[in-house]
Amino acid sequence: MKRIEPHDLVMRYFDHDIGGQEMELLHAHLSSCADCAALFSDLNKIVGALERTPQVEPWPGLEDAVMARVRALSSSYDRFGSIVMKVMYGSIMLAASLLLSAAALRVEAAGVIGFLFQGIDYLGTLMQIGWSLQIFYHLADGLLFQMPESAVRMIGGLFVTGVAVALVLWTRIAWVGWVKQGTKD
Amino acid sequence: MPEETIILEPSDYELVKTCLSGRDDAFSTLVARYKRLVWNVIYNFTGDHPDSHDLSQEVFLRVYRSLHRYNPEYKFSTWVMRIAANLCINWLRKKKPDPASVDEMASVKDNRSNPEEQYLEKERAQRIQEAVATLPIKYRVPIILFHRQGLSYKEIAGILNQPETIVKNRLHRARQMLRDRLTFVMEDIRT
Repeated sequence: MKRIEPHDLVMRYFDHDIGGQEMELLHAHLSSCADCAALFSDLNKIVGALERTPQVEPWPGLEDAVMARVRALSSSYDRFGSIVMKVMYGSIMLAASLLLSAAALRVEAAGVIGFLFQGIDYLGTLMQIGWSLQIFYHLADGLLFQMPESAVRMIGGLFVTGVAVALVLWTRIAWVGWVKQGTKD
Repeated sequence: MPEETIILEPSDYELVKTCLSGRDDAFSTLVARYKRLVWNVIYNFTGDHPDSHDLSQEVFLRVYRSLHRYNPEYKFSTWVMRIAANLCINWLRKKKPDPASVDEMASVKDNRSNPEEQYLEKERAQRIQEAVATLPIKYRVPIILFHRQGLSYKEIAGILNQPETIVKNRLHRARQMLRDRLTFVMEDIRT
């Protein structure tokens, strides 16, 4: 038997990876080789002490400390989410307000009577599903396209910027608050 | 005969899904289940170091933030231990050597009734733990994970991102190094 093999067998014994026949070989060798017997004895003490030493009880305050930090983390997600929502809706509302204000100015310029007629027309559509889309359509179709090109560009730019900012912030909250949002990979 | 109501504990994965739906209280059940495991992993790596408290909390925070990445094909305990072990390995790499941090390890309770045996057992445990603490990290980690935490080669290989053969060779080498470092006290240990 080569010198390396018994050493391997000793190690495999402590790996808990040794078969019955190999165990017999190991025992036979240990009874005739003082070096390997000493190695086995020493490792048996060392590994035994490592594996026998009982596990320790955790720090009593661990659970409370962890949950306090988890709740703080969770509420920070909520706060951030709330801010993002406000910014997002704020951006959209700002862009929409600017658009409607500009449109209203054009309506006033077109004359009060015309505005009233248009208002009656719009009131008629209030009861319909998608009324806001129709108002937007009429405003855009009848008024917005009559505005100076620079104003249209400005309003369009503000609207696109607002939506872009909202999307960026929304992506951020989706990333940071993934766990909170319950989104899976 | 009154009917027995069997209340099944939710599985780890069910608790993970509950957490992901926004209910943080489910996470406290997971913490209760695995605080002992996490604490012992940290403790085996750090001894009674003051950073143990922060590290154990950080493990659970990382678990909480990574819940959406948990793969239920693997045991939750193995996943948690992987996070804990990697955090400890990074901590060990950044930390200066401090072999005097294992005193508490030897003061654990002992079932032996004989006070003298208890004392000797503590002495042995302390010397061995001190020797473990002096091993280079790449040898210390497999010793702790295999002999203290009871992980398999496959699990350790997964944690370290190393082939099983390397893990096995390092473990064999680590045992040999421990024996060499304990040569001067081996006579006492043999008693």
